[in-house]
Amino acid sequence: MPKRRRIVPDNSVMIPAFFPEEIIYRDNRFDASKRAERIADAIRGTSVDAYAPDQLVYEFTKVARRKTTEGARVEDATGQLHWFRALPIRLVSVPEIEDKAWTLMTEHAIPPPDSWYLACAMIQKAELWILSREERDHFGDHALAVHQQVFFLTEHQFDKP
Amino acid sequence: MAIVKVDPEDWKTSNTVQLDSDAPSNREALLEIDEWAAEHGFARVNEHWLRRIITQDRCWLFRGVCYRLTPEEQTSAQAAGRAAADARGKMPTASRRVDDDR
Repeated sequence: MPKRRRIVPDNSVMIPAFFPEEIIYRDNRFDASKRAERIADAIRGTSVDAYAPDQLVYEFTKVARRKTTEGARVEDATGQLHWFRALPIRLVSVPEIEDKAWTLMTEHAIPPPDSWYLACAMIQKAELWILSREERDHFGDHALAVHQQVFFLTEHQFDKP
Repeated sequence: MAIVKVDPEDWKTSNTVQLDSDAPSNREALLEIDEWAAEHGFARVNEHWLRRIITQDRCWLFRGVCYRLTPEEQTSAQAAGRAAADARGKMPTASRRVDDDR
């Protein structure tokens, strides 16, 4: 049996897998949820090994809460939160990645919130999936400078293994 | 650095196993157990920190637990995916530019 692909999903690709989002990217509209769903399905079906820093849970919960102020019913958001938490994502704790995250912040100017995801991907030798390279002040472009395995949902289809 | 013990020894008929790794760190042991699981049709349960086990010859090991990816697991994953997609379909679609702050 072959080794499994390893991925780190950024919150920007987890949110549309559970909450419908249409993205306007370079003046084109596309269904981010359909693309993100492929990643969630691969994680759920364990055809990939998924890792994420602990903060994914906080960030997902924060945006889920915001969704309830933008029209989603609380009970629907709660249900999605439960499906999200059921994904077999291996949460990597802060002590495991803090040294790498600190180096990324100080030597590569990676913004602190994003450095945890990038550190996680680098340490786990995993692909980092982000919604777009422009997301959060071009975090993706900065990430690509130090880790070759950075992918953007706006540019790449996630092919299920 | 290796998986030094699989419990039970006749794991091919078992749906759960314990694996002992002699990797020097928790992180490396987790990866090693993930690789063993992938190669043998299992998945590791979600543990941050593996249990430490000392052997009779006083070597410290990391111990993790894996479960077999049975057809029931796959069917359940597919059903969960459909349920999440159905729930998503009932909610209003948000439209945004990707340079919004998230």
